[in-house]
Amino acid sequence: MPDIYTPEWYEAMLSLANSRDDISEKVPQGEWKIAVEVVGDGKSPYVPEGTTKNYFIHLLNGKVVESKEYPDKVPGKGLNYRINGAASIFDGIAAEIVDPVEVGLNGTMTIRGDMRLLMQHADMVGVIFEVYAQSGLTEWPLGKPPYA
Amino acid sequence: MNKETYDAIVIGAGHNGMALSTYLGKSGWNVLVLERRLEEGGGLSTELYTESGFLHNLHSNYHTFVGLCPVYDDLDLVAEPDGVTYAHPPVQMGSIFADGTAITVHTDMAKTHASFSRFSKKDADTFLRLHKEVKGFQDLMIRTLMYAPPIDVNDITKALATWKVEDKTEFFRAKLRSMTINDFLNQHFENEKVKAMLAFHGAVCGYYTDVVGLAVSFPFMLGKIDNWKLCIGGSHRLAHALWRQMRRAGVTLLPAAPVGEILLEDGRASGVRLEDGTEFYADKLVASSVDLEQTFGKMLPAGAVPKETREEVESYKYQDGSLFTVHMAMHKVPTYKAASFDPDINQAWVLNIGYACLEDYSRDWAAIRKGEVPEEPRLNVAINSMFDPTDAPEGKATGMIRVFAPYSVDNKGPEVWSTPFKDVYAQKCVDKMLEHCDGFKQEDIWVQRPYTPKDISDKLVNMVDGDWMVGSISESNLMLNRPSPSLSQYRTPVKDLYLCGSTTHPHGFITFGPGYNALQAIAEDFDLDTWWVEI
Repeated sequence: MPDIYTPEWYEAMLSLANSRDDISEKVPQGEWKIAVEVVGDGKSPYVPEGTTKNYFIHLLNGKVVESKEYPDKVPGKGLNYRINGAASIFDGIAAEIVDPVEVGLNGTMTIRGDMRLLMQHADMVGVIFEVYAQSGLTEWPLGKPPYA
Repeated sequence: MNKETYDAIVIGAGHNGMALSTYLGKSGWNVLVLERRLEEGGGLSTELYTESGFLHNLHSNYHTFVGLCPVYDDLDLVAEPDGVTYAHPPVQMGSIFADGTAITVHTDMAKTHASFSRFSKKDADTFLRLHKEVKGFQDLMIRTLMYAPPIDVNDITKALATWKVEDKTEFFRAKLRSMTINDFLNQHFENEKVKAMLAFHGAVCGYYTDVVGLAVSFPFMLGKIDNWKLCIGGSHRLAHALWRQMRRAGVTLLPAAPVGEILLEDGRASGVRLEDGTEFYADKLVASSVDLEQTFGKMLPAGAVPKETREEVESYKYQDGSLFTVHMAMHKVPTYKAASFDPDINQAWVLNIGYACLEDYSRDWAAIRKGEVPEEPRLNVAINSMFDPTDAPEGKATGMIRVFAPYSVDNKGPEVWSTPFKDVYAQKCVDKMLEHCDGFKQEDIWVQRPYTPKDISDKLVNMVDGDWMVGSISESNLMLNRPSPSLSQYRTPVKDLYLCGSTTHPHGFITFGPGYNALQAIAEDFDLDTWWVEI
């Protein structure tokens, strides 16, 4: 796998997601648009403090059909979910040392959008984070969490 | 005969009907709102009830969803130049006990912790952990569980199990579904006064502490224990703000226009006929924000809905009790003897005077269910003038005492509230407050005037049996069960007839949830551009 947060890393991650039939089956059919905001918090060396990496992911019938990094905040109109959290939290999830549900519950990571659908497809959430947490395949050129 | 056609007709200009119509108007629809009363606002009612210059909120007084409910932002209700202003009292609430002690709940949780610690350090720590835990997912859950059409509670429970939420939280448990608020408090807290203070928060929100299943909502409620806000100039100002936005959205509001009948054409709701015979037509839909009996029993012809729906409507349950209020025009703001124990009690907005343990609540609920007026009134006191100097003449104060009370007294009917009994009981309530006051005497109350459970229903017929929550708060009448499984998604068996009032999920109170959620159903059915959804 490539270095974390590089375009190649996201490309590889999304290819991995698209290759998993269990995801395609568990993701509700239809169109879903998700913004992910990775906020530099001074702990992660991959996102400078005070900056945010803005990603947009577009799913159609269980497959990722588009993903790209935005220079600014992804416009909220038409989005289904916006996930926001500190870079060290996202790093921690990728490194499998942070539980995504736990940080969602304690508000460290915020999820905006209609949670009803996620609740009705609860298995899907686990599988998506399972794909994200490919720590063994991710390169950490500037060091790996937990950060000192 | 007047015949006008609109895209949508909304029956009832309470806050839910007003909000829904404004959203639809802003979506480009031509909307008519018809209101039985002489003014808009429903429960957002403020009147000069005692004396000229003294503003009294006759129904809604506590607005606890400002900042949590999307409607305020979507419709610019708190924005410049003409939105409402809210006061956020630093000492949100307090309890005064017979032994002269007091507890206070602050917007500053460190101060709340300090107050609770005087009774139990363990409880203070527990409360802080609970509050922090709930704050983490409060916004997410409120938007999911209140500001979206309801889903099956079993789906929620299943998701929480899949995500192993119980292993990751201290207070969130599936078994809360089979517990009362009393059970929850007894499980986690040790001091009766702390429990009484926290239970008071639930009770004032309409959540009876002994109803099985309500423990599941209680942690969320405690998460907003520091979000009690007062509408400056009276709650009716919020209705004014809504009305201004309705006008800007091109919505037509007709007061004094009671709907007598919902018109049907080819099985769809096609318009309404007023009691005076005037007809208005709707190309797209009719939405009713009034109660089920009015909608299905009086406005629709017999046979318009299936027998099962009729039966569901007829078996709809209202709250066991109502509220009896004494509105007061005062020469000054009361202060309390318990201030020698906790000076902050004199700054508390909402006061519990009388509930010292959970058993006190249970006794009152039991009495009310039997139709008995609690012999010893336990009070909910609010002196709005402490935070809103506009609601009384300079140097004077407006205040109110509320107690839980039955609609029908001793099974003799609500008419008992029209007899001198109401004044006798009002004095009893005032006396109870005065017992705890320090230097504030009967003569400091210029005028006191009761407002009874019967008055509630007489003014707002929607609030059947004086029920300001417009339906019981119990597991069998929340989420998918409110008002019934077949009506829970805001649609009805009559094509193009929707429900948007407080009989629907989540419930009464100034949540805006019913109107907002009906909008989601309507948007889906009519393929509306959901401009209000900005994730």
